Amino acid sequence: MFRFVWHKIKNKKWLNLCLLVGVSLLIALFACHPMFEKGANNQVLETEFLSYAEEKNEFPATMGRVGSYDISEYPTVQSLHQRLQQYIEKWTSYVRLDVVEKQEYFSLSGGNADSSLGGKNYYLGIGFLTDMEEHIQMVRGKSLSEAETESGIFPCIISEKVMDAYGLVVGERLSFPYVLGSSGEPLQLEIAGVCKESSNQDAYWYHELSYYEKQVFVSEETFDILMEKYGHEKVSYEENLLLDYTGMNSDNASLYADYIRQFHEADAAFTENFLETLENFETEKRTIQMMLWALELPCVVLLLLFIYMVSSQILTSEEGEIAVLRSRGATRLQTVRLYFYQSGIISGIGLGTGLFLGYGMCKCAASTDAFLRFVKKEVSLYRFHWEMLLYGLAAGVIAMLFMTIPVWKRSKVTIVEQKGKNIYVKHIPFWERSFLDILLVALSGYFLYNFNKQKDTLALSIIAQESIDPIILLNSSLFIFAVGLLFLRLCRYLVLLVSRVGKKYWGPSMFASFLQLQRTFYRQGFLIIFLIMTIAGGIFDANMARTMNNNMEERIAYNSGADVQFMENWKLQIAKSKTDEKYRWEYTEPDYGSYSTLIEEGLCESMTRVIEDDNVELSAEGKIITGANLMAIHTREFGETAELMDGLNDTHWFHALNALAADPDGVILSQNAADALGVKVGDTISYSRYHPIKSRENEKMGTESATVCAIVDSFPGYERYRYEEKGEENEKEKIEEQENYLIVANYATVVSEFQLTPYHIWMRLSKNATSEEIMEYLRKQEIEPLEWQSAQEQITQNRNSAMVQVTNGMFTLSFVISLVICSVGFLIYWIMSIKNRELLFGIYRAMGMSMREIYGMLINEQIFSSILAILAGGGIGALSTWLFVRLMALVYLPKKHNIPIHIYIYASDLVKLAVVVLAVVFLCYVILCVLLRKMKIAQALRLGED
Amino acid sequence: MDIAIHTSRVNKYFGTGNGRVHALKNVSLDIGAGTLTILKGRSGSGKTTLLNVLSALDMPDDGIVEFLGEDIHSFSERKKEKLRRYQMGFVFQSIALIPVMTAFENVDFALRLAGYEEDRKKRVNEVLGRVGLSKRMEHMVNQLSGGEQQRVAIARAVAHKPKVVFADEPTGALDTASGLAVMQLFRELVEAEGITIVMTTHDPNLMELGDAVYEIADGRLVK
Repeated sequence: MFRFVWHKIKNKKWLNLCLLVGVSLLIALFACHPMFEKGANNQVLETEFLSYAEEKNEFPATMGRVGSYDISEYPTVQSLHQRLQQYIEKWTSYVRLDVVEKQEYFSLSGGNADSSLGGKNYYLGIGFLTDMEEHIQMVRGKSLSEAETESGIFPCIISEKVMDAYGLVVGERLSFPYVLGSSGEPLQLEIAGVCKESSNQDAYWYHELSYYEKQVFVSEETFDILMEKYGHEKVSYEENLLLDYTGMNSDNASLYADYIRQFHEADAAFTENFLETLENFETEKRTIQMMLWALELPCVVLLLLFIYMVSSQILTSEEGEIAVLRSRGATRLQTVRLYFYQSGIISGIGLGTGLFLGYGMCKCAASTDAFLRFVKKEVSLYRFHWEMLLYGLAAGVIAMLFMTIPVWKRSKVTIVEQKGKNIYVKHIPFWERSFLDILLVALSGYFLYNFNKQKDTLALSIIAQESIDPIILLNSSLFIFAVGLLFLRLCRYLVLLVSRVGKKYWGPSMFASFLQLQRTFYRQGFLIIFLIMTIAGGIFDANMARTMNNNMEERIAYNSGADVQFMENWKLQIAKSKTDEKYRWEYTEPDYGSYSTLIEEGLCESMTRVIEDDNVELSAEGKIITGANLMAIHTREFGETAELMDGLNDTHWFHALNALAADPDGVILSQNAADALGVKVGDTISYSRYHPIKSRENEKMGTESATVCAIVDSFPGYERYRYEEKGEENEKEKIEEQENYLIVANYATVVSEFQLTPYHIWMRLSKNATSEEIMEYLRKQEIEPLEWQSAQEQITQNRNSAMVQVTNGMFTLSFVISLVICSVGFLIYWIMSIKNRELLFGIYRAMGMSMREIYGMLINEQIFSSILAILAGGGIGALSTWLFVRLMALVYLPKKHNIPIHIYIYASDLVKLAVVVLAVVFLCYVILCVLLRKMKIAQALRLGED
Repeated sequence: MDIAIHTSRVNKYFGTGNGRVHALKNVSLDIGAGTLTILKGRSGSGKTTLLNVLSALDMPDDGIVEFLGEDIHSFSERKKEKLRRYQMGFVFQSIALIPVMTAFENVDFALRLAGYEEDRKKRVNEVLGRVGLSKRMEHMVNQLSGGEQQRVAIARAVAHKPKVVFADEPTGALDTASGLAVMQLFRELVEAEGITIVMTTHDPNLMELGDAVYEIADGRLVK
């Protein structure tokens, strides 16, 4: 049996090879899914942890406990330690992550302490940090182990911060009148030394020393004595385990999140800082999973269509054999089993090749950083996973079903029925009779209309990270398929019309050609739909990916306003005036002039200072706007440094800068601010700023009146909309959209009216310079910027974000797969349509038709099938781009922006597609010529004799 | 009697080297115009090869084949095509109708191909009537029985009034009764339309209906 099946495969090796290509690609796509999904998930998880660490400036994965114990139950540090150790063991038996470091802190209340230096009084607690001495260095005095004190006086050490805050000195004794020993004497501590962390990089310092604001530290022995003899009832503790978060991945994250929720439920004292990270990850994971399936699905459908198409071709050419088998007594089941084995062999080989191909495809998809652009980058998070095998097997089985199902229908036919079967009687397929095409177009249109209507609500729910309706992503494919079917119907009508109109005028070859087209139209229908879906899908994928990438990057560039923006750490000095008792404040300006070196070294083209304040009050004619954004700029420098896309304002934004330069008291207003205040150019408004001192942040520090000299829609770095959480959990929409208002004033005017406040430095980099080089310069100058923003870095970060990665990767894969199967599919169809009609051509030639007439016939047929389908594919691709790209872009760019979403169509993508299609058409033409030239009429005619 | 086809010392080989087969060996014959000539022989004897050579579907390796006095193998491909199109008709063992067409369209197509200038519809009705298929002319050919299909093929072969009709085993795929009916039809056509028919067969029962019978064995004309 096996040999027979193998022989059968070998007999039609080219068709089976094509089938193998399709099956391998299907298996590869499926196998690639878990690898890609898990890789992207791990990437998200890693990014989540890193950005948590960056934002909060603390270790991103800790677990622990905070609370207090009765000293009567746990009288020593050791007993406390053991109790906590039991918790740790329990936690880590569930959350199996390595403990990188552990910080264990115990404290006793101290209360007011009197200083030996007289007159001073402090409120202090007494603490003990396990293993502290191994992680500190002494700045002054001695360490606890080296300290020597008189009997009855215990040594303690303090941090630099406590020293500065209280003005304590080494050797000072502290007496705690409320902490009394067994004989009623107050506790006495002597400051033996001042310490600091031995290294900033030491993971032990989850809470740095500065966290323990009002604490002195004692040794374990002292702490034990204090617990035992000084009448304390309770000891407070804080345990923090620093966990190796790299051990968390997409497989265990949900499980760990579950355990942590249970720990919280079971233990009120339990603390951790990464449940929120894991929960965010869960949401993103669901989004990625949904997006991956939604982006893959059209490609899977296409591959299944391809497999069905090729296996149907094979079966059509084997109809005779099947009928003979049936006539010789083979049951239907036996016949199907024969083909099932055959498809099993192909799927088996496909599994082998598909797994490797899937692995490679995933690595390729992961290394894209834009559509069809592969870069060398770290893709080690994307690795082989056993689920790939499972997915591959599932795909293999699906492929087998798609290869075998068509046999069932054909296995009904015996040789007698087969000979008499009329395949050319007018047969209108089910979908055309039931107007399925029109229904599907209407359905897709309805979805589109509905989503467009709810665009704003959708955008808010996407911003709130709620799950996305997959239909948004799938609707374009549904549309392409439905319009493809509709086109097929119209194309058939066109053929009928043309052949009816031209019947009287055509020569015999056109007559035969149109009859052929009319009566075998739906056999070509499959190819037509297939071509439309691949070409339109390819065009749509390319345009969608380009639009998403370019719009994201445009927005990043717009929001940045300049290549690099940073602010140094300014020192604020506050002093109480002796004359009027008021607080005076002053910022010390860093040396701005030193940055000119960057221009001299050719790293930077230009730079400027920009004072930015996001809490400015604007008022005019009784109307008030609060929380507006102020930018104070040097107009010329700003114009040279900042960037703004053309076309966002009615006139070039330099006109606004010129108007501002001409009027020292002028301001530029954003359109929404002007509308809200009801002012126009030439009107007067006033603006106020608030105090920079925290305690007086509600006090205005001045009000300046100004003339509106220009009104703009867009301005570098000005985002019109912001999104804030509403807070109310039960509200349907958790996020709300708010407007930002902008006022731009002259730097000198703002400084003279409101004093100098910290400014950002905006830079335009030279052509080949990178923001990394600027950072390097700052590092060399020992400048640690308080804020840092680089458009380049943000763009790179965006390109590497999992969502963009998944989309670019999947669109690139789909596009390439489309090209491959479109070419292979078209070639097979073409070759088979000639091969299957060799007898017919023989008849035509015997009857005296010339080769030219036969070419003409075939070309005519191809015009009304493939060529029209290719053109329709192009048209439908363009139409779906026009209709769906803006809506789908919402998924990636839900926030409203000064820059509307532009659709990007790259000629190079269309050229790539066109080149492949033309090359295939040309190849088909060559094959046609070779096949027809080789054909001998007498031999062709003999084909019919069996 | 006029000679429709004349051949002299025609040889035909297939293959090369050791596998070379001498399919026709010095075949010389004359076929009279307006006759029903039968080429008989066993399977593989070379009768189909001879028919192909006579009808310009295949080339002899040497020898002369004259069709109405002209050496057809010196013709260009274009001229041979014209010859087949206007002056010849074909009936094959494989029936070889055009499957996407109805019986009517099959015959009509032959007329279009031959540039038939008179009323095509009338002529199609006439020939299909002659072969007894007036009532089934709108059927697709696959809906007809083998005998009916062969009759459509004959109608198609004679519709454009060719000088010679070549028929390769026209009764091969038919039962005895249908085969006889086809032969009767050929006879009628020869007599009514004055067409020359050259056919091959291995069925000895049909020989008596021919005006001339040639037997071929092993590539040689025996009689």
